[in-house]
Amino acid sequence: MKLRLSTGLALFYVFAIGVAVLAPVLLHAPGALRLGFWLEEPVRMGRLGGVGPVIYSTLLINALTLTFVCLLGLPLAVGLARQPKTSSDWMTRWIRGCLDLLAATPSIVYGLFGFAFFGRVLGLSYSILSGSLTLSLMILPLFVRLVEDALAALDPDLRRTARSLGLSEWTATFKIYMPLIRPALLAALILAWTRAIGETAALLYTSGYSLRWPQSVFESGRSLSVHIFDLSLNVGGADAQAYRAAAVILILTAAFSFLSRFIIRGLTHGKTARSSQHNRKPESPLW
Amino acid sequence: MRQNWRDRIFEFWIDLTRLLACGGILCIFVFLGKEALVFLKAPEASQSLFQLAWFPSENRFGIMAMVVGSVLVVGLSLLQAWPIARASAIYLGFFSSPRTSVWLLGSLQLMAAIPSVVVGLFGLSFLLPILAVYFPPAFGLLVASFVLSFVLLPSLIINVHAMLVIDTDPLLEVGKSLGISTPSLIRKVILPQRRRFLRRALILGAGRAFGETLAVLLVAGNNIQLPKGLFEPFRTLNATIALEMSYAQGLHRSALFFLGLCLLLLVCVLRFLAGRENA
Repeated sequence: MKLRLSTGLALFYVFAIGVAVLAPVLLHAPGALRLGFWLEEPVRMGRLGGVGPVIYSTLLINALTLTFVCLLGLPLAVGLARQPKTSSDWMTRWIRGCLDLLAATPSIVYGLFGFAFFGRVLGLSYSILSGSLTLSLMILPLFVRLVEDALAALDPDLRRTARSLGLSEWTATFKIYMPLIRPALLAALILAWTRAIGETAALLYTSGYSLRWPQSVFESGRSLSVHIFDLSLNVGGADAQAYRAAAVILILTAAFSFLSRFIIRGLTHGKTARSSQHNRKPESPLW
Repeated sequence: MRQNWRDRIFEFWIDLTRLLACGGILCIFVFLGKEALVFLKAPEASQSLFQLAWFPSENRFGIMAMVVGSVLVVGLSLLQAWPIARASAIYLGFFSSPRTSVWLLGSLQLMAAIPSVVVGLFGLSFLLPILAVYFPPAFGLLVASFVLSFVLLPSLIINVHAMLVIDTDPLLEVGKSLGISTPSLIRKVILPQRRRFLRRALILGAGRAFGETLAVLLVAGNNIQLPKGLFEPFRTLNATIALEMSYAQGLHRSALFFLGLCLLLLVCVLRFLAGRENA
């Protein structure tokens, strides 16, 4: 009983801090719910006004990032899922090792790399495109891991049946496997997106600080998290505005995750068989 | 197997992404190394490397104060986060009902989605003003490690929980049939058996802690000095990159890339220590 009490207290402590962190954000949520705040331009470096251009840039960066992640991550996951996790094939091992390292790389290092490579070498300087390329490289390992796990959890007979029917790999992948893992795919996208919207350090020196409406993806645009960072560090007396921007992030995150849950429920027609939590397959850490 | 044009393109595309995944990390190393080379070649710069003074305008690039700051803040935050994460994971895995666990894990996932900069903002605008009354200026190791520990906690709990509940059903059944109480089963059997997995989760957490930049930056105070107390301003390696990159030129810029390379190597070593997943 003593162990139960003490461990319960530990969990309670975590949730208590969580509530404390979220409380000021929630207190400022009414200010963030004003429609004008979502549309207006910031005034005086963001001390007054709204976050219209910032939200626009954020969504642009995120949309581009998720597109890149899908384009690169899906084939990579499909390729990896063909080999079992314990495979001794040297190429698969190498790729897994590289993805592991990519996952471990600190975000500020991604920022430096994006600044030097996408910004300087490819000549994108500070631009939304440079930011989203950097961000997609950063999120890729997480997305690949989630999709690969979903693919690996499929019945192996499915693969054998597809082979014996002579289905081409393309048809098997996009007509059979992908529809089956659609809920997991959606969940992976949402998780990747929450990482993208919360990221600051990788974007500071890639997509930049500009507060104007970006006219194209080759212009600089400030994401919401960079905006929060800038308001709290460089702009005096803008804490309330920073909290409102944080509330916008939380509202967007909550909206997307509820929407995805809703869609997933629709996709699976409520047929989610929930197995005992002690019987799950070994999971590896995502972060 | 029939191969049509779509299949060929698909296979080509898969191979291309494979190349990109391997090339990506290689590119990061090469570019950081290339930019850092200027700094490493400059004799006056590398002489001052292991000193405390960091004055880029005078070509003095001592990184030791920042290394100490980074290591201290990561160590202190793990000291706070690890026992709590382990205990919470035990509660989630063995004491709460499966239904409640699903709910709690869901909320933890939402908490993991809180951007770290928001946690930093909480520390900056809420914790610091309160503490500054008693311990001015309050910027420093204590608040920074607290903020960092909360950034780490949700994902750490989720990871440790995942490590604890792998294939535990047989153990629980055998324990029950032998009349062993759940607490002693956890203490005597499950935790020792899972020690390796737990160590892995801890090391990965440390890697993430070293990578966290802005939440710490906001509450650290950022004076480059050895932290003498829990309420003395200090600076981490990451913070230096984030703060000085916007105006750095020449040797200074190269030195910042060198710091980035150091961080990358450190995290890679930690990853290596954590070991392979299926080993």
